[in-house]
Amino acid sequence: MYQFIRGMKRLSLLISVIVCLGCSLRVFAQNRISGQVSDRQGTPLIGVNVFIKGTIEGTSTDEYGQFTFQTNITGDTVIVFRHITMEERQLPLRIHTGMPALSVTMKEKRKELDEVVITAGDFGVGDRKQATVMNTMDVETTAGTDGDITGALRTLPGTQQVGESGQLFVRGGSGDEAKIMIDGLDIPNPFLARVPDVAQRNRFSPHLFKGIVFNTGGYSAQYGGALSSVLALETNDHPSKPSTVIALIPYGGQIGHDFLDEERRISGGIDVGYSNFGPYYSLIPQNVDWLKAPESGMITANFRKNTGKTGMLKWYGYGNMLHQSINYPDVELQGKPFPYTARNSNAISLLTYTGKLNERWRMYAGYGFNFNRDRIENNGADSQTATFQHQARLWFVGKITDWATLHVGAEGYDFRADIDSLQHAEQFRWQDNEWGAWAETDLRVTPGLMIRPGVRVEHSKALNTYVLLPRISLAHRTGRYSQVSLTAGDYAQKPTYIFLQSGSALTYARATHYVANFQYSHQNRIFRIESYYKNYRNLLTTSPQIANNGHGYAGGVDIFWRDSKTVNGFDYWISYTWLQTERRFMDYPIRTTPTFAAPHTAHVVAKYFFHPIGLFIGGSYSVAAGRPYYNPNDPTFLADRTPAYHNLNVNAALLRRWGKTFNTFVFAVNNLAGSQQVFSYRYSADGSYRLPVTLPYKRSFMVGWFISIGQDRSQEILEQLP
Amino acid sequence: MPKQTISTLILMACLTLAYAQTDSLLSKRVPILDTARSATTLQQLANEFERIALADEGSWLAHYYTAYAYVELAYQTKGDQIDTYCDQAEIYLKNAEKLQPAHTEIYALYAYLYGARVNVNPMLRGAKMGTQSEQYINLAIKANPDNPRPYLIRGMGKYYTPKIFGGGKEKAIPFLEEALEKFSTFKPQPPYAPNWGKPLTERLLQDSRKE
Repeated sequence: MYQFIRGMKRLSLLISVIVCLGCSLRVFAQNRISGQVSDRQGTPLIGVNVFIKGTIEGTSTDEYGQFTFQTNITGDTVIVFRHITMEERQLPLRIHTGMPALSVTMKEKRKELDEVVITAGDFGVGDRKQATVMNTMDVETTAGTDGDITGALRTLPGTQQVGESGQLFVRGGSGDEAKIMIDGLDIPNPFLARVPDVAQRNRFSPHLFKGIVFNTGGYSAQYGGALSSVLALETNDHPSKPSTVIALIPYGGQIGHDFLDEERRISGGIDVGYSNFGPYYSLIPQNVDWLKAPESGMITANFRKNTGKTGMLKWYGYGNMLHQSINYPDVELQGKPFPYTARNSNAISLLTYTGKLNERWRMYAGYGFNFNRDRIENNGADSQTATFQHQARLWFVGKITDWATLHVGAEGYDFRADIDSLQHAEQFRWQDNEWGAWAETDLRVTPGLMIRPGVRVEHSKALNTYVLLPRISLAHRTGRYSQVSLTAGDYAQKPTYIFLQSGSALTYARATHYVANFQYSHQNRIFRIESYYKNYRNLLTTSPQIANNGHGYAGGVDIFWRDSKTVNGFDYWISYTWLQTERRFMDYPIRTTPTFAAPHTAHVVAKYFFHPIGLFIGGSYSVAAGRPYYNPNDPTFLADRTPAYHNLNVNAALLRRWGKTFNTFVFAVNNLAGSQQVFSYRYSADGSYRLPVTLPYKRSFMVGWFISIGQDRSQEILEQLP
Repeated sequence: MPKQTISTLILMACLTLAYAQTDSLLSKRVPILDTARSATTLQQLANEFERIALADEGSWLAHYYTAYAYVELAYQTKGDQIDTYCDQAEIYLKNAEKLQPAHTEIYALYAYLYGARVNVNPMLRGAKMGTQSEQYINLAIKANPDNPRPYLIRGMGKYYTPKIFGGGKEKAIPFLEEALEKFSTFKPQPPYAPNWGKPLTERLLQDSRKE
């Protein structure tokens, strides 16, 4: 049979040769097809596959975009042009003798990734995304950020250097106006408990997350409850291998294990950590008089399971207990110290499901639980506050047509706070139910133009009111590697429950954002410039009485440049923030620049990885103009400015593999130059005595050893810097 | 005979010619693959194989070689462009896999392709895509233990991984030697079936032994 087929093939070859000979005899001579191919900008395209459709007759364009080939085929044909980054073109051509040279233009291929996306306000952190300015490695390796996600984000433009707090202060907004969520669910207490004037870290290790989107303004209708900024974190999918990790640092240790089933459909992990800063503080001098250096225990766990063909069920759990105490100087008593003790317990549970309903629709369902308890002993005024938050969130996204995608969703909250003033046996309970719903559509008008109109509704039972928040964004591709985005929208935030329980009739604080963004990104170089204007109304004021009498504005320009192309192995970024803002809020008697706003902030971050010897070194330098502080001796409110802020940090990591263990040794120094960083001053009421609020240390040092067994997790280890 | 019938006949005849030609076309180009290293030559080869694959869609080898040429191009370039070439290669490799499922050479080429993707950012991608490459190496060996290419790719992985991450030229030697041994007995069937990699193995081995 096989022989027969071979025979038939030969026979058909013979016949076709004869027939084709026949056709070439008909024309007698060969015809030449030639021409040039270029893109729409007129640049010649090299390596274009040019051929007659249905045949193998053709050639490739040369370095000038030119091609020429001879063919026996005559008459009506179609010439195909194919290039790896271009849209295929087909050109009908009647082949005859003495044809003129062709001139062909090709359009860029419309790929999912090349489609324009809205970048206004968004900083993406990931491996391969349009708005990406960092990857998760950067979070871990940026000097001075202490492997803290929020620390790394503070080297991006739009953020303020507020050294006495670990929170994010974005574009003139206060730390409470930025919201953090994991897998779409709110984290109301994302930072470790604090004592006064000492910055706290965020609770979460960056190696938990595969994606981080930091929005500095104009975010989508999917998110609510934040006036200035949203930080959305997305937890990892299955690990590639099971592994164990051990971390040894001067003030503690951590051990974790990740498992993965053989079919890669179930995975999970557990991490247990303990830290005690006592021994470390006895070695490295501290400016803070610690009575009890921070001591804490932490446990985190996660679980992931594939369900059905497309579904993924994820659970993330976190628990932490922290105890610390300082001698806090009283400015009214010439700095006489009194003890301030803070004990905190925190627990988080996040359960989410994502999956496809059918070819067009995807869904998400999530349930989040947050518990937090703070017990504060403050010079005889002791209190205990416990909060419980339940959140349910559901959304659907579907392709309505090829060019329109619809997002609809809703979420509900149940919140309770129990406040116990321990001495007076006074107890308060405060409760609220809130819900939000949204709809938005991505309209892809052309591959280069996208419009996203959306609307969000929020309601709070305690406020007994609704807000309607329309938002719109637009992105337009202006060149092969550049685009502009515009966005505008209304945002609202509820006052914190501490003020709501006062009994005053309060409402949502409101802001309107306008953001314009230009971005150029090509081959490991990215340039972004963004300008914005924000208008605030109904900000909470606490003086003369608790009300929504505040107002204000913020405007500015953020510039970012990153280049990891010019010098191989060397990577750096520069960011600059210009901010003008005034507001009346809290106890401010007038509208003025708030204490957390500096007009100019700049950062330079550089890193170099010597891959052959596994050595990483990095450095960062930040500089910011002075911030306003309150001086009772000055008749003008908040007219004084702190000295300029300088901060220089370095870090190094050495990576080694011994047998099946991956070892990382880390060394880091923060505030290498020992700069005196004054964040503010605390004055006595009569203005006769003051104390500066500074860094709790002159320099901080870190030496660590991280071991991972099974899988190379060295990259996720660098993050656990001091 | 009406004119239409004649042209239909001619078209059919020419198409038949194209199918029958595939074998001879491949035989002519396959031997140059091991020597072609410049991006220009590789792109030309990729285009030629692509034309053959488009004219004779049933030939898994035409699709395979198109993919191979694009993977080689990916190894010649840097940064994001690696992904562009690899994406293109993966399209043709998937076509080949559909025509010839569970073939050792297709697995080996997947392993080679993921090795190229790691180069975009070794620190970030090493763990994930290195593992994917390794999985395909195992599949390729399982499908045919005599195929030298999975051993070459494994050796190459060791060769380019710094010592401190458990790689190094010394560790590459046993795999490269095994690959070379298998190259000496490996007979591609048909003659224009994949047989690339011997000069690369020799070059890497020579360099490794110098250390």
